[in-house]
Order: sequence, then structure tokens, then C-alpha cells
Amino acid sequence: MTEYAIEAIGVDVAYGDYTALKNLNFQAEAGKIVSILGPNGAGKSTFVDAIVGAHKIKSGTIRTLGLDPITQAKNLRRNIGVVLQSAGFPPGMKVKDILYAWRRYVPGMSKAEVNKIAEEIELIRLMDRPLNSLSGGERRRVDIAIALYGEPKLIILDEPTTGLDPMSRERVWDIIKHQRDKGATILLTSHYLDEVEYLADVVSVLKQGNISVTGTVDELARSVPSQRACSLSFGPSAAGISFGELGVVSATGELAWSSLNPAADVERVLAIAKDKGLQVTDIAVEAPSLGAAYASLVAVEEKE
Amino acid sequence: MNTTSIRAQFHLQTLGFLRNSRSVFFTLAFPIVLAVLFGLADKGTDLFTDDKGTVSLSSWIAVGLSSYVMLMGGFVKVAGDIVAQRESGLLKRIRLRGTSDLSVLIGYMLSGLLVSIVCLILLLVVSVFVLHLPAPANPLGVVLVALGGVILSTVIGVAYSSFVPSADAAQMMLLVPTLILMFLSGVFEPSWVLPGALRNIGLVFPVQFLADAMRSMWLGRDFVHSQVVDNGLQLGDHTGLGMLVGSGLYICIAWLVVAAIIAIKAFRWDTRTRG
Repeated sequence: MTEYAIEAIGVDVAYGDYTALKNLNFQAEAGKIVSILGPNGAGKSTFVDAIVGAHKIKSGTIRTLGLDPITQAKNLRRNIGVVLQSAGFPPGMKVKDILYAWRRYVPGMSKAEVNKIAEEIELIRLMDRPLNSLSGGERRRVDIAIALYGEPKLIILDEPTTGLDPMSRERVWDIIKHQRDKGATILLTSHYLDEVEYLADVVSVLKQGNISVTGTVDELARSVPSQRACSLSFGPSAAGISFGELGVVSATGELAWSSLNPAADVERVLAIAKDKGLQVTDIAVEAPSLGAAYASLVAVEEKE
Repeated sequence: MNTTSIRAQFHLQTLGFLRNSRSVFFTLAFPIVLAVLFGLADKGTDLFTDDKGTVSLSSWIAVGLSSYVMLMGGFVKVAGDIVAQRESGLLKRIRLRGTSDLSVLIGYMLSGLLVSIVCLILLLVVSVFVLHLPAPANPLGVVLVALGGVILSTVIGVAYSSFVPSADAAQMMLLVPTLILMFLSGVFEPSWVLPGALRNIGLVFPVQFLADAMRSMWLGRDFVHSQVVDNGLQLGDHTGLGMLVGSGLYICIAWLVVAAIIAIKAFRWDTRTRG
């Protein structure tokens, strides 16, 4: 039987008269990186607030690690680590001030354990630096480090790499994967497709306050037909040979085209090539793109 | 209620205060500077002489400045910290780390309490040695007023933070009312120099009572029940801790109750609409 770290059934969340989440159903399997993908304003942060008990739901049920986030907040908060979009620390503090002060929220946590996490997150050499002298990526690592205190079973990352440079983003991704490999469940909200493609075991698309589709990255990418780049290489001797509406072989011996149905097109090209006695030296078909599928989902939303 | 959360929150907020040189100056050093400046400027000026001795203007101002310290350490610090940390997201993060909302709030208040008490002690010690402030007439009364005043101002700070929209607005919405109240409540200058209408406005707020209560306990005269007459002051005739009982005390209690209710009903953990 599948164990779920998060289960939401029929959840509505409102801010006054505005309904941010409507009849939302969601499950996050334990031990996986589950990503919620959606445009700005879709309700991602609202959903995070609901599952950690920071905002009451209007109707429905939520269970986070099997607990009610509102009535069982005390037990739940011991077992989750949360990295929000922003968490500025009091001015003038150093990295070690925050790291050592934060451990006091976790009964029995020693300075040695803090140092171990600081090493894991590559913060040891930054301990005496003022927080306001750190780069965005370095501050984000401080955020993540304190979220790992107490070995949380569920780590929630709300747009963790927003505003970071490419190298910092990759470092953060590696940290996230390492935590998943250690057994934690990761809930990641993001509007960065490359981040979701790299990290997520499962993706749910949130649009207009509701989960519209859930699946692996590959399943989602294939769920909506999209133009994919295809090419076959024959060698320079085939230059100029026509393959009908698919195009003409270039001077370098390559036939390139874009297709909604690459498999059928490649089969047709191979048949024609065999008839013409041409030898195929290479075949390349672009993998289905999450970006293209996501763009289609967003386009559908706008039409609706 | 979880003491781990309270201790952790107290430690984080106190450390944050000590690392913030601007906060340290305005809360700790500034009132001492004010006391010394006012004291030196008014040195030799006596307010009145009675059978207990002479009360100098510098003593009267230095002790009255304790209400400024209570407001800065309690109201301004606590409200300012909450607003800044709510805007930055840290408040929400602390809430999700702590095990109960009440524990988190108590941690803020205890930090404000400690800062205020330390500042009060420093102010009064400096006043004793630099301005020759006499020893307190009623030390127990001084402690009671100090503790009560700081608790009141921190609770008001928690409640008030619900209405301050941003850290930028906090500077104006916290410091300006504080300074205005100092004038209206006769902290920076004797209240009898103010027009009657302004004095009456000051009576609605707890600051005047706190200043007069501290003066009464320290200087041993009943400033709490005093009346302004012919551009002077007629002292009240209560003695000991009885000097504290009256309409001023009831106003403070009313403020405490209302602030506590507002703090519970209106407090916001993040910048979005309370839900």
C-alpha cells in the first residue's frame, strides 16, 4: 500500500471573498521529490501554507505526514522543514549566529550536529560572515541548512532557486536530491521547468487553484503533442535529395524537420531512404519537452 | 506551552537586537544621553522643596524617562521586530519551527522585557552617579512599576504590530507616536507647562501614569494624584504603594485588556490577509 506524505481531498482555501484553491485533490508519495508546477498566482504558496497549517482551509481535508496541520500542528512542526520564498534574518547577524540560534528550536540538537549540516551544505567557511554580505545562493543555503535541523521527514521548498545564478541553482538542486536519497519526502513548488525536469519524480500542474494533471516528467511531456526536432544523416553524397514535404538533404548530408509525430515520419524517411539505396549514418529525435507540454496547458487555460 | 520554543525565540530575538547597532543605540544609549543632557542643562534648577527635601528638575526628568525606555524596549522593539520579520518571511518561518503560536509570541515579549529592564537599570544607575539622583524611596514600588510598564508596552506592541503594514511604515508609525506621547505625557518637560487640552489627551494613554508612578516610587511624592494649579503642581496625599491606585492604574489595566484581545484576534503571521 502506497504511503503518502501529503494527502489533500476536496480542499478549498479562501482569502476573504477570493477563493485561491478550489476542490483541490493532491497526493505526495513518501520518499519522492514531488513538484507542483504552475504560473505565478496559481496558488502554489497558498497550498504550501495550507499543508503546513499556516492558513486554515475553508473545506476538505488535508493530512500532512498523517497529521491535521491545524489541530496537530505541534507534532507536525517537529517533523517538517520549510524553506519559503524569502526569509530575511535580523540585520547584523552572522551565519553562525543563525545556525547556532536556530538549533535551540530543536530539543537536544548539539553544535556538532549544526557543524555537520554546515559542512554538508558547504557553509563552514562562511560561518563568520555577516548574512548581508552573502550572495543570494549562499543565503539560500543558510535557509536550507536550518530547514534540515531535526532530520525532517518532509521538506517543503517554496520556489527555492528564484533569483539565483545558474551555478547556485545547481548546488541547491544537488542538496535537494541528496536529501531525497536519504529518505526525506520533498515537496517542491516552482515555475522553473528546467528545475522540475531535473529534480522531480512526480509533477502536478496547478492552474487556477486546482491540480489539472499529475504524472512523471516524461508522462507530462508526452501528454500533449508538440513539435519535436528530427534529423537523419546520410553523408554528403545524399545532398540535394528530396523527401517531399519533409525537406531536402543539406550539403552536409543531413535531413532536418520538425514533427508532431516523429516516429511515423522517421519510419517513412527510412523506407524512402532504403528505396533510394541511401545509408543512414545517424538518427536524432528531440525528447518530448515538458516546456512544450506546459505551454500547451497554459494556452488551454487562457482559452478557457 | 512549550518552553523550548520560548527559550529559542527569546534567544534569537535578543541576539538579533544586540547585533543591530541602530536598535541598541536608540533603545539603550539614547535615553541615557537624553537624561544626561536634560540633567546637565537643568542642573541647579529645583522643582520644589518640601519637608522631605528638594526635588530637582533633572531628577524629575531622569526618572520620567524610564517610561520612554519602557516604550522603546517594549512597544517599539517588539512591534518593530514583528513587522520587519513578518515582511521578510522570518516570522512565518519561526512560527513553523516553534511548537505553538503562543510560545513564539511570549518569546518576543520576554526579549522586549529583558531589553527594557536592562535599559531601565542602566538609565537609573547613570542618573544616580551623573545627576546625583537620590536612592529610590520605595524600591519595591519601582520594581512593580517597571515590570508592569514593560509588560503593558510589550502586549500593546504585539497588538499594534497587526496594523503596521510594512517595515518602512514601522519607523513612522512607531517612533512618531512614541515621541508625541513623551511630550503629551510630561516626560520631556513638566506637564503643567502644557495647555489643558493637550494634558487631557495625554491622560488617555498609559505613559503619563507610568512616568508619574515611577516618579512617585522613586522620589517618594504622590505625583500620580497631583493636580496642576496656577502653572504649578499640587502633589497628591497618598503614600507608599497606595500612590499607584487610581484612575491612571485603571486606564493601564484597560489598555492591557484591550491590547491582549486585539493581539489574539488581529495578529498576522504573514503579509497576506488573515485566514
